[in-house]
Amino acid sequence: MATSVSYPTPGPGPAPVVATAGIQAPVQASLWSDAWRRLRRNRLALVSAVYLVLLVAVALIALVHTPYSYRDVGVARPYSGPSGANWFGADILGRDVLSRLMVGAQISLIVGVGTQVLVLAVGVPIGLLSGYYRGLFDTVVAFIINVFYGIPDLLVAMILLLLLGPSLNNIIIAIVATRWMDMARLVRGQTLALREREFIEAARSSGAKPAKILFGHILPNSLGPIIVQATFGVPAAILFEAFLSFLGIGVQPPTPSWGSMAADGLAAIRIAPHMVIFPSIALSLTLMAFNFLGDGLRDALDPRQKR
Amino acid sequence: MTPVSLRILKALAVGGVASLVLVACGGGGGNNSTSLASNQTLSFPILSDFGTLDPAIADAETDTEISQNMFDGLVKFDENLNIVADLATAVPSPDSSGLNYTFTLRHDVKFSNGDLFTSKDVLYSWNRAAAMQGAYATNLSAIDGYSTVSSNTASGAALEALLEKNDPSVTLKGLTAPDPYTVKVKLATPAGWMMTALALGGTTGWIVDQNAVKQDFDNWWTNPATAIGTGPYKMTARVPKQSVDFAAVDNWWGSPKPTVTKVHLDVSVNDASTAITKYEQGGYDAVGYGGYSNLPVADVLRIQGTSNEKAQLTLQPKVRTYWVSFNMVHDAKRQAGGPFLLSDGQAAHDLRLAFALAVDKTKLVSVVCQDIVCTPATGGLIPPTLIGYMGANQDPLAKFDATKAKQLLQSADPSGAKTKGLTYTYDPENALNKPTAEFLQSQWHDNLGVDVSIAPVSHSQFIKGRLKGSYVLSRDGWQADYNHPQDWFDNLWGNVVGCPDSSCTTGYDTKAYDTLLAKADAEAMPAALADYKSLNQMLIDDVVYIPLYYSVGSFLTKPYVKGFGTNAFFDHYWNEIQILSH
Amino acid sequence: MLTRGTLIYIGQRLVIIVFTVLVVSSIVFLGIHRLPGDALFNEHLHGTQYALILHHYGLDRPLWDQYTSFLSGLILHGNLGESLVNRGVPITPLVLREFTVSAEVGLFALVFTIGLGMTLGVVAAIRQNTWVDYVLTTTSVIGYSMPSFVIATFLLLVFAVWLDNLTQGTFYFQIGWTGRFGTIGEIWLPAFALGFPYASIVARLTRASMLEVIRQDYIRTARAKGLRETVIMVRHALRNALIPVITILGPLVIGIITGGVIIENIFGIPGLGKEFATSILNRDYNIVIGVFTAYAAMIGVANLGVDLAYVVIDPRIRY
Repeated sequence: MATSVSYPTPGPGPAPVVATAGIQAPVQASLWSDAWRRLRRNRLALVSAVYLVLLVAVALIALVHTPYSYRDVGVARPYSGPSGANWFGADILGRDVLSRLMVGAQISLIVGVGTQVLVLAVGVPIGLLSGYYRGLFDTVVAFIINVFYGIPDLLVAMILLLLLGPSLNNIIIAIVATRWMDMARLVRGQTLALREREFIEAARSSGAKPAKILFGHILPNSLGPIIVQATFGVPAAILFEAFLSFLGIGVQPPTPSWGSMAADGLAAIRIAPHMVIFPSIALSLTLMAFNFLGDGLRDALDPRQKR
Repeated sequence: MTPVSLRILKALAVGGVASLVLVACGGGGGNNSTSLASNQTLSFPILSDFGTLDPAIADAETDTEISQNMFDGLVKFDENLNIVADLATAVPSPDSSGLNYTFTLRHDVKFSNGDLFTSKDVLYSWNRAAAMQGAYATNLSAIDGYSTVSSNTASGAALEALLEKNDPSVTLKGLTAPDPYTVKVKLATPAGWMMTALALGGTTGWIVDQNAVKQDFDNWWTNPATAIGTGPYKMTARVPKQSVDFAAVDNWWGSPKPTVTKVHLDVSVNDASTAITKYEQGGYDAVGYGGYSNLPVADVLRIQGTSNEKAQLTLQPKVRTYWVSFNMVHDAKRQAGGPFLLSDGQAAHDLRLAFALAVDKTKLVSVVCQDIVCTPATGGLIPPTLIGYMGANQDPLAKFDATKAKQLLQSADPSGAKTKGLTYTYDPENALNKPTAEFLQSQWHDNLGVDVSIAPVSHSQFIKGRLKGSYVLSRDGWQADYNHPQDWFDNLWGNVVGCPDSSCTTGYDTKAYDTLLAKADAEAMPAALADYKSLNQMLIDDVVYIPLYYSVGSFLTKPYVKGFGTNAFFDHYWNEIQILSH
Repeated sequence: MLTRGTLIYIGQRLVIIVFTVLVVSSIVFLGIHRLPGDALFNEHLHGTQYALILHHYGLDRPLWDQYTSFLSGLILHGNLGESLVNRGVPITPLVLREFTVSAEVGLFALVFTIGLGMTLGVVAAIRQNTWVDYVLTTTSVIGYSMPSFVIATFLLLVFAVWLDNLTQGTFYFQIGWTGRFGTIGEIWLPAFALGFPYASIVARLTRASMLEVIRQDYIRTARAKGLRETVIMVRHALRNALIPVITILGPLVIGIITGGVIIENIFGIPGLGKEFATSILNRDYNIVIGVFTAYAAMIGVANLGVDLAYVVIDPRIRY
């Protein structure tokens, strides 16, 4: 039984825990209901899921209402700590930290989820095609993947942003450009293993079109590892943006990202630690939640589990 | 902190250079606080590695404040900002025509490599600087023959070859040396400002050694072996981007004789807060030279709140102003374009005025500077205490009038098309620049309804890009070199010196301005003052700038360091610094 | 273990490394070498100076020409060119010097990561579900869920400021880097900050895999045979638990390298990471290319080391 090991994505943030997945037998209804049952029993994953739902709610609320406008300067004395008027204090320009955290949630979710959606859109088809058809296309793709496997993605992203200029869109592009390879690699591996299986052979000989084989048979059987990889990719992307913000090429003002809020607050950490603490907690909780959820999904979808 | 016995041993071993070292007598109490330490090493950080130390082309304050200790000029400023003789024996007055100066040189001056300093070095240095056309080459512009030399296009080794054979294309006609210790200067027109310009530290007019320079015409200053000058300190080691070391020159000819024997510059820490932490640990003796005079507000607030460290903090108003510049010229060289062009007439003028009036400068100073590290620039760009300062609240561009601003915007850009997609560019190295940029962005958004993005560009690239006219809106600033309005009006606008070279960010250059400026430059004070005032009014009428604030420099000095610090214009010379025993 | 086969394998890998370095170098070179907006573009140069400078750097020649001379310079002389911003500064000595610095901190961080991470993982596994386990697990989760620049700044605050004040200047972490090789006192905290997030991951991984291994039959057999608990743990369980750790060693090294960009910035360490960030911002393309080449070499060698470590750990693997 072939095992495909997908390496944790190398990057500025710590690599997520190794996701190992076995190749399962043809999809059965019981896999998903089994998985769901196991996931429900994982308390940590449940709590994380609840937290994330709340986070999305906060992000949505921020679209219509925040205590202050996130960009209003001087609503409180700069550097002032938490108070009745400003629950999380004020930042270097006297803006309300809580309001900025709420809008920052939008940015984190957009960056995190947006990049993974694009990574899926780019990496999955390439991986499928590459693994199924082999040939020149596969050689080229494999070559690209192997070369870039050894290049730190932060460095490449920095160069890309140097050229494109920092903005939310460009950051997403830069992250996707450095991350799609991991997904393609995973999917390619899965495809390579699956295409030799009998049920694929059967489908082929019964005249099924390649598209149907790819998307109707191979893809559904690889969904588990793909979902897990994407789930781990979200916190990695959010952390990536935080690093870019620290280096000055992250999301630009007035848009607040948790990373840029923390980075800007570093200089004043000794007189106004709240400027760093609250964005950092927001980041940590969110990253932890995604990581625990990923762990839970991986365990739930692992068919080697006996329970 | 070395134990006493080791100190004594060191003092004995070092001998000659440290001849002034006094060791605390015996063990009894004594007057420790005024006796000198045996280890006279001064260590402080600088923000980034040098742009250039070559006096011919240096123009960055951070560089010249280092190089002013390596080189000398015929005259220089003392700490009270009087012009005094340096390499010359006296500050000459011109003859009755106002065109002829005679400098008598000292006989005892040696370069740090032992070469004797004579008049040929003055000729070489000045001709070379005029031919290289650095930012301050205009210090020599009054000399007869400057227009010929300034149109030189040769550079590098080719230029050196021309200088060696005294080619007329690179030789100032009005500069002659009848004997090794006399230099005669003949001006084309009288220039009351010339002595001041020659006294500027580390820039054009200061003396280099041809023997050293010709070994590597462009990069001689990067290498301790060839970075030769007549100053009290010479470079002894350089690890690029990590550190630079200097040592006092043995038996230096000038005075006061250097007490500090070694100066260690740390380049590797380029974050102000980390530098301050390292200072507090004892890793540095002082912070504030070399670009660090703008300590982050948070640290200033914190230190002011302590009991013991507070005394080490000095806040010194610097004659330095910050403002916003518009790109006002669009041509083949200046690519940025934008809606603020002078050529777009009244509409562009109203737009500039709208942007200027929409900024609440008092609020800026209160929020960004906490009213400590800057004060609102309400009296024009020339700061208080300098000639040309308009007086508090006299600058109409410093007013805050959101209503009028909005009206102007409506009339100048009713559809909002012109003010779409604007960017304000700044360099983030100075801790105040980013908060200022964000503040401006919020003001234009709140009071005008215009969305301006802000873009950080690293300092070295920013300074150059600004001059190339690459930015529509940019941070701008100027530190006065000397107390004369010419320093501002010549360098920043108009084509006498400024545009298209030097420091002309806006490209602003009108016939009226240039004519009046030429007139003002030729006059002596106080007649000139009236003309400079008119020039000021032109800038205001054309809304050439948005004034922001006058800067206050912040320095940290350990209690055992004496003499470190600054006057309003420049940092104190290193040979005035002493390390007390501690 | 150092069989002829292994030596051949090492030789082959070294060739591949050199090849990869050249490929990466070429890609970066061709990609950004003469892109608009480089450091020279904004130069305020007089007369023929701009043309002369372009000529000096060879930037006025056709791209293919520049590329071949870059390659030959690199292969034959190890010459990476000259900095665009700091004139007269040759890049190769600069990169080598900073490489030493980064490699030192990185190696310390790596050793610390694996050592501490594995130790804590083992401890947590042995003491599963006790308070020790909970504390360690929580700490490790925080470790990889917080941006490293926050952790690093916090550590700096504790060890460089508070400790200094607390002990009146006797014990504290000294910021900075002296000389070529630094001192232990200057390395340990940045290495710790650099390695901490990865140590957390290693700890979690080790814990999980130890837990799995402990349940295995051969462990039960060993216990039944009467072997001491520690012997069982170390000789049998640990060895097998090491394998997943070695698996992520490659990405770990890459992570430490990228983490270095942030950490070196905060601690003021003159290494490759800081150089890269500064050069990108200053648009000193020559240095960017040089640093990238150095990184490619580092990673290639590190991956080779990882694969060799596999040989040591897992006797079934032969080359």
